Amino acid sequence: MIINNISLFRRLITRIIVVIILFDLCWRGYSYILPNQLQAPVIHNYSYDPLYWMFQYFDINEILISSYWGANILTILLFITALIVFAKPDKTLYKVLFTLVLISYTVLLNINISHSVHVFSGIILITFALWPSTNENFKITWEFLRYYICWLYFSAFLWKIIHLGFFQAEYGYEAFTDNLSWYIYQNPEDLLTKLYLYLVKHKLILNIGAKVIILLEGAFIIGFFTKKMDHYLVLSLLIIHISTFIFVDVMFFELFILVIPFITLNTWAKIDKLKDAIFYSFKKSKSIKI
Amino acid sequence: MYFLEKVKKKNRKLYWLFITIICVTFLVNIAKLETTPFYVWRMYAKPQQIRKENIFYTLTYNHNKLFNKKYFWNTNQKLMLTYTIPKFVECRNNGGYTLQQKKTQKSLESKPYKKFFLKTPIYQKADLNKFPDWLVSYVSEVENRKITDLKIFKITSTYENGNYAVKDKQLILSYKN
Repeated sequence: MIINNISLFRRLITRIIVVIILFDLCWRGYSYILPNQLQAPVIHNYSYDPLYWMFQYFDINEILISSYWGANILTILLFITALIVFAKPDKTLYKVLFTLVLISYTVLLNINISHSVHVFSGIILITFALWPSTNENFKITWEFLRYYICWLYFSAFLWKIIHLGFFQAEYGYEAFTDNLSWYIYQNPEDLLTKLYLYLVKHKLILNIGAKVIILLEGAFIIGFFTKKMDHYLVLSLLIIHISTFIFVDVMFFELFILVIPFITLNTWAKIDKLKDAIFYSFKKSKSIKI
Repeated sequence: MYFLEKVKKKNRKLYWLFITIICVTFLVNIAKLETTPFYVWRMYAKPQQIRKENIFYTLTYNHNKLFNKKYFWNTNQKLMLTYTIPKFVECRNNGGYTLQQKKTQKSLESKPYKKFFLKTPIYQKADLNKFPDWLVSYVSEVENRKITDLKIFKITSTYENGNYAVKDKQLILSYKN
């Protein structure tokens, strides 16, 4: 074995990821941002992403968002491809189609909200690692994804050093007031508003907190040298996104999916056992009823 | 490196695929040109603008009901309006284009290859007249009721001496259905 025995749990990992994505799609439905709920927006922003420009060149937004049938078909495809991958986790073709549908949805949503948000990027990246058709290739790709995630978070830190954001004394306070003034305005009597107003008066807490979060992003470089600290990296990832949600109003909880490649082999074995126990008890209760 | 060496010994094709992914990732980062799915994670990388005032928008419908009130925690729910309303205002103030579009158009102005970009998003004008109708339709979908009127306000707030205060409330758009 090159790396470890993670391929033993390939199907389990694939199915767990698909279930998470299905739940996420339902949440997006609840949030009214599925293609058929957008009501064909009229203001678009194609950013400077070449893929977005390709979508504009081939009029894909007209076909899959502005058209009633196109938007409904794309929404159905999101769920259908996920269910097919859940049912047939070994078939590469279905997984490739699933990723392509997810990418199309993300690009089109970003075009129509007029901003390129990264909230869905984790889901897209993780589905690439499910593509390999053999256990051996899956093991290698899964490992590569873990390194790639370490790079992503470390690069976020690096950019803040290069662009000097990290060195700005008032960075935390400015990001906070820019993003949460609307909340204070709309919820004047709220408990959270009281906390926010306290923090405005004690901005040192916000500024130090922001620096700690940036350093936690930088800590992901450790992942290139050892796996012994992976549980701390998972904790860092959770702290980063919970903090940015509370203090910068950026809820990137969908990126929590990126903790999955950091899960150890022992934990996967436990999850597998738990899954077997649940299915066994389910089968047993069914046979008693009969 | 140790990982890549192992991959090279085991599977040459995957090794070259990974090398390609690494190279493209570095290239898009150096060029600062995000190319989905090669993401450039540089949001909030620059120093934040020091503001004396904070500007945001609120949307009310059917006799001053605040939109999105119940979804305050849900960024996904807010996505559609957090970005589209400021973009609408920005385009309205700049003849249908965003400031970034204007900037790029200006830089292309005297270039001989300008004609190749005329059909690209750089020169795509926003259809501002249809925006209020779309907004009514979307709010109606979310609230699951008929929308009789809709207003967008631009709010200017300040934190002078740590005390929050609303400095100005300006009506940006008023629409009756």
